[in-house]
Amino acid sequence: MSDRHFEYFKKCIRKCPTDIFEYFGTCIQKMSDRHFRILQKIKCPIDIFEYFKKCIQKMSDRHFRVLQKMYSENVRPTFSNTSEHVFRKCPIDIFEYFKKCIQKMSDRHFRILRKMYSENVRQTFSSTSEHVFRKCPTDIFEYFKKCIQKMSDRHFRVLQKMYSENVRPTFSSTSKNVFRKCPIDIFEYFKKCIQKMSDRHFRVLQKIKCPTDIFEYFKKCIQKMSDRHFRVLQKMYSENVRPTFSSTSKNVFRKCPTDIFEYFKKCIQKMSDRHFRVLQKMYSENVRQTFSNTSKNVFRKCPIDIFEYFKKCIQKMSDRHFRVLQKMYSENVRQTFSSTSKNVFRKCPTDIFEYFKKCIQKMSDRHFRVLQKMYSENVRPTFSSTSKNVFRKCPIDIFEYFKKCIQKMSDRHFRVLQKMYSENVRPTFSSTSKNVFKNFDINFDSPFPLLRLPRLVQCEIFKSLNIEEKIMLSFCSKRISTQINNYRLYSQKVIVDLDCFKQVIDIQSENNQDIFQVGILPDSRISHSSTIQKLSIACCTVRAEYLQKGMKTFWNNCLEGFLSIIHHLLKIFQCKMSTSFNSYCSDLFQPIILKLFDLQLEFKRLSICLKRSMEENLLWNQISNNLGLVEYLSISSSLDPAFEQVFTSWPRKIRILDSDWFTLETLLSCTCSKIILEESLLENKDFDVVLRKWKTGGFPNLKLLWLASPKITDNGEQILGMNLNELDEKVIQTDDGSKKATIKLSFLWAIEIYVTPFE
Amino acid sequence: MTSPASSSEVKYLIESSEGNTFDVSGAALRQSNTFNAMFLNIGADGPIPFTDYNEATLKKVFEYCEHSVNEENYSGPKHQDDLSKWDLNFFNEMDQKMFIDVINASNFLDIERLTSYCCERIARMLRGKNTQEMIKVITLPTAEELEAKQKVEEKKAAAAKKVAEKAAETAEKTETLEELPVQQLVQTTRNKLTRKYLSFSNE
Repeated sequence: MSDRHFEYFKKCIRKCPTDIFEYFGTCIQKMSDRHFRILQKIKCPIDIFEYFKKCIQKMSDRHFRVLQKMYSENVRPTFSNTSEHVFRKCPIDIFEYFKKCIQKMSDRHFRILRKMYSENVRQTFSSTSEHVFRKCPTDIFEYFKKCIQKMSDRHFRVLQKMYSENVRPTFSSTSKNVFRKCPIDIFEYFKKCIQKMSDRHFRVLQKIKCPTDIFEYFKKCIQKMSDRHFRVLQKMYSENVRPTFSSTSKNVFRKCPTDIFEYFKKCIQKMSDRHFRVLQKMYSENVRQTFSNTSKNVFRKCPIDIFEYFKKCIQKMSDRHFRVLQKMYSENVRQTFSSTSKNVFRKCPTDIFEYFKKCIQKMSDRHFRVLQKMYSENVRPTFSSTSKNVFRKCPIDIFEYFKKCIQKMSDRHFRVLQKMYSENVRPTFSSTSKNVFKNFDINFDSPFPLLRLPRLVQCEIFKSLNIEEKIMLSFCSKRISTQINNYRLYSQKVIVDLDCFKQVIDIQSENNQDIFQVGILPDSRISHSSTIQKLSIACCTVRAEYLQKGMKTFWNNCLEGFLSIIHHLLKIFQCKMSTSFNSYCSDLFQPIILKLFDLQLEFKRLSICLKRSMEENLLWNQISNNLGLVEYLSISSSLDPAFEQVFTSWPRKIRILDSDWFTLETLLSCTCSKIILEESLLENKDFDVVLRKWKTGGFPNLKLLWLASPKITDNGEQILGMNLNELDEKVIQTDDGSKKATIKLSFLWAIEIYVTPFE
Repeated sequence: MTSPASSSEVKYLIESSEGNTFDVSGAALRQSNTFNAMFLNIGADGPIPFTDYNEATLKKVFEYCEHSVNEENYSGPKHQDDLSKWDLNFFNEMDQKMFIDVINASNFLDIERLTSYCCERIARMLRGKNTQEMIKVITLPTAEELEAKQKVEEKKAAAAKKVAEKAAETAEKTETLEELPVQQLVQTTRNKLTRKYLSFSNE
């Protein structure tokens, strides 16, 4: 451990809570002791074990620093920010970090073991009795197996603790995103996954005999494992969660959301006795009066039959439902609700059923809206077609669902009312006066001439529509699409995110409240559903299926589909594109990206993964010519070292995860304002050149340079005439005095340079 | 006929496309930003010509204005459930033709609250519908209809210009205000309205 790491380590220790690091320290100490004991059993000469002991001690220090960094750099700032966006990215970041952690850990293991093998073990082995290491491979693998299991357990505990100590209180202080992605089961799942994976590793490793290959293999395996973890977890937040859950072991997801929703669905149709009493009381004493007092005429003529029916429905509630709700309330809801914004649950009482009672009393307006919708011609077909899909979206985010359920209870009511409608209400309503449902909605006999209205009025109308409605309306005709395009300045700003892998395009508002998804699928995926309808998009007639908050479109040629939809969306919303992390996995990614570059469309974020293939080098050549159209470029894999990468243009910001191919010459020619290079191979002398160039007016756009290279060390090679340690917190300035930069040394060989103009 | 100092008590004469005139209170009329821009400070001499709209439409529009005189300041469109019984009846009594005329007149007179409610009512017509359902509830105009619409808007621009000229004439006759500021006000108003409607026609 270098001095500067130690200094940082000491600084952070002072600031961080003792308990976590106490815990880490104990864990790591145990691990190192275990290492030592295992290695001692191998009966190697004492000096080797001395060496191992030191190595492992360093490793544990490194573990400690990694975890400390995780806490101090990722978790704490993230958690402490309790704005509404805090947890939007939180779980992904944790797992992103976790992924890296495991990768780095495997690298470390690999290096240690390789060093062990090359420097000590081999010679020692050759000079010692042939029996000394007779059992060595098995022991090593046994050790590795245990190590990874323990490691995953430890990670699990750390993350779980992190969650329990940090996340939950934070959740309680957030408002809108209270239960958005709360990962209780994720950790359970993660733990088991890693355990299983380590078993698999062990079996594979046992079959391999060559020590060099073992380590190489191990390194790659763990990298893949972490990638797979990441993908699995990402998937958990996507549409594919449900299949994923259902295909896992029944023990893994004993509390699988599928069951929860299935259960909920059934439960909600029934109701507990307690609910019944509350609602019965409400009915006899309050409801009718309440309903008649709200929205004055809404329920004026509402027949008694509805309430009679309601009473019967509610009577069926099960005790189980009550217990689930009570548990939900006691574990999650109460704490959260009590500290949410004053407007959300201002009147939330201690007893959820008290609260329920009040909510239901106030529900007359909601009832009215639902019933009103039900009353229209479209509702019944919609209900029948959505019956299967009622809970389809739920698993995406169980807590989002809970939150909505509890806050609005509309889903539940909707289903109750749905049943009510299908069994009783419709005949009842049809026999009541037409005035019962006379309301604010237009019900003209002839079609409404929307486009004949004054332009300002059209603009107001378009402005009040949400993303889904705008998209639906834009498909009505080319002329309407053009009109919406004309009023784009009045429209909300949206983000269009391309995911070629899942074959969807997500369109969402900047605050993520308004989301719509368009799927682009081949014709072969058309289901023989009555809900398939024809649409005209960009002069093509395609078939479409409408979903809740989304639609699927079916194309003869998916590439054409993607380009048509993208073009249409960008025309309506005039926004930039982003590509998701997964997109590069799709064969469609390359042609789509290149076509969009041909059209000179701008990218907000472009994520690419360049592996070691000639085709991707060709892709890189084509992309590099158009990087001026990209605001933020993220490259998540390394290029072929033999390939001479050339940046003929630059994005505004760049992040390269494996930047060993990014040479000093390339960096010196970089014009980006934000440069993040991870796993770089630049050295002290290179960094010196970079800083000297900046001082003489180079890198005119630079605002931030973040450079992580294990080769920049305090090895005596001076930078700007100083040792590396002396650069920490150093403020340097350009020769002309126009700008200053603050240098900060971080953990894991990272150096940050923040440039600010002189005031 | 009117004086700026007592605009809330006085009645203004409004002239419709049929040439008929009727009274509207100053308080109701002040909800029209178009009126405010042209006449509020300088007063009107004789009937105010809103001759692009028929009497029934104008009466309906000002009926709404009269009703909402005593309501609090407008703070954006309300949810339908917040609408009063009177509001619901007001909108439900109108057939489609009348509703469109009211939107047009409200838009021209720039009555924010009424325009906003009308827009919300139309938006609700589209809510929760997919493309096929939307196509059923709206009329997609032909090219000829769009051309005709452009002509109508040009006509409205001319009408706006006429109204502005009327305001200018009134201003010239007004002795209570200094000559130069009034001329500037009238000229500014005239230019503003002309630019506004010409820009619509040119789009």
